[in-house]
Amino acid sequence: MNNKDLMNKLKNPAENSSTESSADNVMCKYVVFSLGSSTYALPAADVKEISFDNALYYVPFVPPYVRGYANRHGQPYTVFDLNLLFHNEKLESSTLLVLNLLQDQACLLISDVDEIIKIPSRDVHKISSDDDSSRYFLESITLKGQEIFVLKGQALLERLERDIER
Amino acid sequence: MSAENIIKVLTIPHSDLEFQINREQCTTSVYIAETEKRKTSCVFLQEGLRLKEKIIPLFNLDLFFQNIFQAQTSGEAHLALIRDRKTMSAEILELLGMHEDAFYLEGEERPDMIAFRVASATIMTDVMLSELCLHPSVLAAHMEKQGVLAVSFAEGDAGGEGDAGGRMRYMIDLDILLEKKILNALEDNNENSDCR
Repeated sequence: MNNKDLMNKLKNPAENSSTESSADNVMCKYVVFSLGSSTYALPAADVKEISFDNALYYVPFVPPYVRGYANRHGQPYTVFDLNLLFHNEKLESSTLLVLNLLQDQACLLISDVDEIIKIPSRDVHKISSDDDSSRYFLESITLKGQEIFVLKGQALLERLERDIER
Repeated sequence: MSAENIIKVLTIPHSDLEFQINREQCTTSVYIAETEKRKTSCVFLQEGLRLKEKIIPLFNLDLFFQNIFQAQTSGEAHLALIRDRKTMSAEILELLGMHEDAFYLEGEERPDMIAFRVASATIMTDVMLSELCLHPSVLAAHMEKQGVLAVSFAEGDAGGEGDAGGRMRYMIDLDILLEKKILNALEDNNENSDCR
C-alpha cells in the first residue's frame, strides 16, 4: 500500500469498513477479560478505557454488587462487581473496564484484560436462551474453541435501576 | 468565581473520607462538655446535650457515618452542631416528636434545638459548586433521596494508574436524613439505613 492509498484509507474509514463488510466475514472487535475464573467479552466500542490500581470508594444504600465509586478524572463512576452479581463472590481487584455510555458513568471491576481481538462474524452467535441470566448478554463468541459471553452494559444499569426502586 | 457559586460547608473529617454539610443547616456549634444518657428506640439518639440547664436531643452523627458509610472513627467527636427547630419543616418536627416523647422525662422542658455529635476537627470551608459532582445518572435520584446530594474528590486524586489515595467527600443533607427516617430510624426497622 503506497502512502496515497494509506491516506485515502485513513481519511475515509467508512469506505474501508464497507470494503470489509462487503466481504462475507465482517470483522468484530471485542475486549476479552477475566472475572475470577470466568471469561467474558465486551464489544470494543462499549469500552472507553482500561484503568489499573484504582481506589474504590464505598457508597451506602446500594445493592452489594455495586462496590462503590471510582474516581475517573474527578468524576464518580459506579463500579459493578459482576463476580458478586453472577457468582455471589466478591472480586478482589483494582482493575476497571470503563464503559462507554452515552448518559451514564459506570465501569466493571475485572481481574484482568486477556486480549483485544478481531473475529469474523461467523464466530459471533446469537443467544437463544430465554432465561433470566441471558438478559445480561448480547451474544456469544467462539474463541480458541471456547464459548465466551458478550456482556450488555445497558442491562446492568437496568438491573440496578430495578433493584434500587424496590 | 462569583459568590453565588460558592457555598459555605462544614467539613467533617474521618480518617479515610469526609462529610460536608451545608452551613445553613446548622445554627451554631459548641464543644460537648456534659451529656446525659437517654433511652429511645433510635440507635443514633441515645444521649442528650446539657446546655444552659436544659437537655437537647443529641444525634450521634459520628456513629451514623461509621455505621452507614463505613467511615473509620474520627478519633474524637466532641463537637455538637446545633440546629434551631424553627428552621425545620413541620414534617420533621412531627417525626422528631415521636422520639422525644421517649427521650424527655415527664414535665421536662423541651428546648427549641436539636444537636448532632460530629468530629472535633470539623471546620468551615468554602466549596465551589463546580467542585461538587452529581452521582452517576443511574443512582442520582436514589442517592439524593437518601440524603447524599453529591460527592467530590480530594485534590490530587485524579483516579487510576497508581493514584489510589485520596478521599471521597459526601455532601449530606440533614433534613433529608430526618425526613426519610434514615438518621432517626427505629432500631428494629433498619430497611432505610443500609440496603446492603
